[in-house]
Amino acid sequence: MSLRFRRAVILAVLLFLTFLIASCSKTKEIAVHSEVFYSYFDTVSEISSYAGDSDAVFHENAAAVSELLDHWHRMLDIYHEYEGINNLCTVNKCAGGEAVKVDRDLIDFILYAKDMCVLTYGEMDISLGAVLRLWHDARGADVPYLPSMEELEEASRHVGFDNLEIDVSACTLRLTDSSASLDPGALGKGYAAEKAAQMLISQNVTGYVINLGGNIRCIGTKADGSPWITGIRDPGNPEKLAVTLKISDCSCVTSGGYERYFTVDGTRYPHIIDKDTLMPATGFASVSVICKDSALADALATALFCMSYEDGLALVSSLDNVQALWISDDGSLRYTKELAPVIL
Amino acid sequence: MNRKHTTLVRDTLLIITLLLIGIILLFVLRGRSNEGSYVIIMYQNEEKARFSLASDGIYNINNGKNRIEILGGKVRMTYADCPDELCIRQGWIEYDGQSIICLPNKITVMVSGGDSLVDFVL
Repeated sequence: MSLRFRRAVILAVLLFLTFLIASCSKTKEIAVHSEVFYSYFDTVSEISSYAGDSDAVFHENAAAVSELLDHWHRMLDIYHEYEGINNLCTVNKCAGGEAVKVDRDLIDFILYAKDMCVLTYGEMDISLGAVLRLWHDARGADVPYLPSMEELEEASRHVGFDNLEIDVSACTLRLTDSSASLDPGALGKGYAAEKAAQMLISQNVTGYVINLGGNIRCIGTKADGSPWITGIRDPGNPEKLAVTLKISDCSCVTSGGYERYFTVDGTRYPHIIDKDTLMPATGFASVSVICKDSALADALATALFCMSYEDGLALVSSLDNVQALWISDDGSLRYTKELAPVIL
Repeated sequence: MNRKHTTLVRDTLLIITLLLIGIILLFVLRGRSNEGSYVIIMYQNEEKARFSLASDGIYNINNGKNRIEILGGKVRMTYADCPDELCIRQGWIEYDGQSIICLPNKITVMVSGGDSLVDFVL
């Protein structure tokens, strides 16, 4: 047993261990860039690149997305007006008065929202503003409360696209009912995320993810061709995940995520208001929609949350390449056939 | 002579120690990778669902035509609406690469070590 032999043995064992450890660690490492914005849509927005591009290229793309999100945030803001533009806040303020001249983009958004209202049998309706305003005030009060049914029913008389005059050629909007108002909350983030995605796609950008407060829109795949893995929280145990989904080149939007709740007298209510009952929708713990178009996913996630599973499934099945996942309060899962969730 | 003898004992001890460390590490690392194992449900070569091997429970698959049970890191078929029920007789599987096939229903239940890294949470 010479010293040389001993050294050889040590070397061999060390090499063996090194190989073992190396084989267990992940070899695929793409440099991920990400930038977070806090100023849009009252939520956290994040743009991430898994494209393996340079810092400079990423920042250029992120800045372009930020600018676009800022534009849509201003357009769709119903609580603030901005100098130099008429937005939805202006339109709501002028309800019952003169027609308001708006940006062509806002007209397009309203027309899309109207289509989505029809598609979802009115379950996703941005003209529900009068009702949602009552809920917004009730949630935001020092001691949150439930609005009275009389108030809600009164407000519901000022709901519907019949109250909205859309003049496409003159680019004007006018609410004919002075108590009516528009609330794009169920659609705005998804719509803006899709616009941002389309802008990146038009510049041949791929391998990016735009995440607007849980409205995820991913473009292409990661640089190595692999999908993104999205975890859907277990609503009964928010520290855990119920499932994970592999997604690429599509959007994933979840309604009823556990943060979006408020509590009155110990009872938890989701933020989403069912147009039929005028009360928070309580049919599911969460509903996720997976499809390419983020605006459609956002609209459907809200609508499905307010519909029965059967009606929701019928709606989703009538559309091409739309998948959905329903999680009930007891934790049970239902999902459309083509979806292949990883159940944890 | 005496010095040579001591060296031999030390060498043997060293080799045994290193081998032990190697074996222990092997088990530690393997144990860790088992936590990330999955039960993958395939229908005609297409992945239909995936369950963590840690998620104990009884699950209906293939629209209720088959049922699996996951318990303590193992999985078995507990129900199949097919006449032969060979898949049920196969019993538990637990290791990466093992599979249960229900030929009449074109269903494969396989165990696979998977990557559970999550990019986003909703």
